[in-house]
Order: sequence, then C-alpha cells, then structure tokens
Amino acid sequence: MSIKSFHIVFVACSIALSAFIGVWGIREYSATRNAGELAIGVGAIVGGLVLVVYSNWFIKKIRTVKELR
Amino acid sequence: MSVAEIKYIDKPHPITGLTNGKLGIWLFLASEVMLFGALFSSLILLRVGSSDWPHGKNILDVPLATLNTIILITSSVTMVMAWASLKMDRFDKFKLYMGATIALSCAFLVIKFFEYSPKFSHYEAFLKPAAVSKYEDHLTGKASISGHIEKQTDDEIVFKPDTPKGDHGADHGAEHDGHAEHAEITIDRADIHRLTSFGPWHSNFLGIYFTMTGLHGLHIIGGIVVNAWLLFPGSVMFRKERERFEGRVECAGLYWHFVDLVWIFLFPTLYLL
Repeated sequence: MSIKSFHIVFVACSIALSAFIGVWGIREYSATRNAGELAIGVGAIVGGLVLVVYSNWFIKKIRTVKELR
Repeated sequence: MSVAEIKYIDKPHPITGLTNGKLGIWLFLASEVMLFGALFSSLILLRVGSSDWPHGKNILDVPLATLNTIILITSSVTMVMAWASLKMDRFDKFKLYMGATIALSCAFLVIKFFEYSPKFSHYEAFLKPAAVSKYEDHLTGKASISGHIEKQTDDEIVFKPDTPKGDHGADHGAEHDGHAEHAEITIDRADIHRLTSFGPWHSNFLGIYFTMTGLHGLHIIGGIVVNAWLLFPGSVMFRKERERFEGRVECAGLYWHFVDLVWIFLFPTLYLL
C-alpha cells in the first residue's frame, strides 16, 4: 500500500473518530450540561466536515496531478 | 572479487511491486500492529474483568488529548504534503512541510508533558474501612479522598481534597489541577490504607494508560528523529539519488501515519469510553 492509499484510510478513520467524538460530546452535554463537552462535540463535527472536504480535494489531486498518479 | 549489487532499492520488485524499503517498513508495521494489538487486548481484558473501571474523562484531561488529536491529524496531512512536494520537484515546500510535521510532533510531546505532570502531584488516600465514616463529607471515591498534599508528618497528612462526589462516582481527578478543591483536612496516617499519586502504580487503569500512551510517545520521538534526519543531513540524497530519497520519505510517511492511526484508536478507548 502506498502512502496515498494509507493517507486516505487514515483520513477515513479520522472522520469516523470525529463523528464519534461529536456524538460523545453531545451525549455527555445532555447528561452533565458541561459546556466544554458540547464545545468538543461540536468542534469534532466541524473538524469531521473539514476532513471530508479535504479528503475529496486530496483524492482529486492524486488523480489529476501527473507526478502523484 | 565480485561486488554484489543490491537490487530494488529504488525500483519496485516485478513480483511484489514493492521496493526493499517499502517491504521492510510494512513488515515492521506488521510487528507494530502485534505489539499495540497485544496492549489493546490487555486493556479490553482488564476492563471487562474489572467491576469498578473508571471513566477516562474523570481521570484524564480530555481537552488536552483532543488538542493532541488535532495536532497529530494535521501532522499526517503535512507529512503527505512533504512527500507530494518531493514528487512535484518542490524541494523548498518539502522542507516547509517536513519542518511543520516535526514542529507538530514536538507540540504533541509538550502537551503530553503537561498532561502527565499533574498526575504525579495529585494523590489519592485509600482509607481503612473503619475510618471511612470519619471522613464521609470529603470522600471523592467509594472509600478514598483525592487531592493535593499540603503538609505531612509521621502521624498525619494535611490534604486539600477535590470536590466530594455525593454519588460516590469514581471522579478521582476531574478537577485534578486543583481548580475545584475544598478546604484543607487533616487525615491520620493510621486511617490510611494506601496513599498513592496518580502515576502508573495507582491502578490498572492508569497502569495501562501510561504504558500505552508512553509507548506511543516513544514512537513519536522515533518519528521525530527519522523526520529530522530526512529534513537535514539526509536531504542531500535528493540531489544525488532522488528516487531513493522519495522512497525513504514515503517509508517515513507510512510509519508516521501508523503512529497517528494508533492514537486515533487510543484516544477514544482510553479517554472517552
């Protein structure tokens, strides 16, 4: 497996982790009303969305840039 | 005397499709999977076998660990960008991205230091069963008081306890930096069954936490050494044997992604679940 493929796997795992932290943060907030946990949860969801955009950009780059193919 | 040529150091082997370096790094990573796999298995077995396993968020610093997660994910992005810059013949950008990867790795270790250090000045006094009722208002665990030691003599300890937990949850260190401490109390040494800091000797949870995150930290240090070598003395190879250098950076990148992937699993397992 090349670094390109491993990077895509890594980003996919990071997106899954972001979703998990998002759910965790919101669930903890609903139980404890701790604003810090809500901030972590919301931040993780936003981070996950950034990673989705980044992964699309990265896949497009490795397909279109000749040196990276 | 003939000199044997080592083949496939920059061109892939026709059968495996891999260079020697890439085959070697994947074999190494396979051994690493076994190493960390054994530790994750140990964690699962300890956890399912325990009747009183604490929630990570009550003992560990989730915000700092979240920040470290962001740092490591970003460092993987800069690492792959360093490799891509080499492929696109942008050596200046390679240096920039590799430097950023090293800086982020160092930031991870600094934050880890700030996460570890309060654990060694934060104590838990496990009380003898007969003495539990004497300190009932200050209990932070089922039969224990956690906090900071202010003063100690041969007979007693002046303790600044954390916020007592009415529900007797295992909230040993949520406010472990002393932000929510109560007034000082004096505990007779005769009432204490065991006094320990929140180091790896404290409990199975902290034992496995320090083992796994410590081993992961050592891998980060290893990555910094390799990446720094590629950035500084090793980079002369870019001019002489470019393909070979690109292969080395790719192998270092694969290792770095693996180390970051381990953290992606460590973080929720230890801190959130």
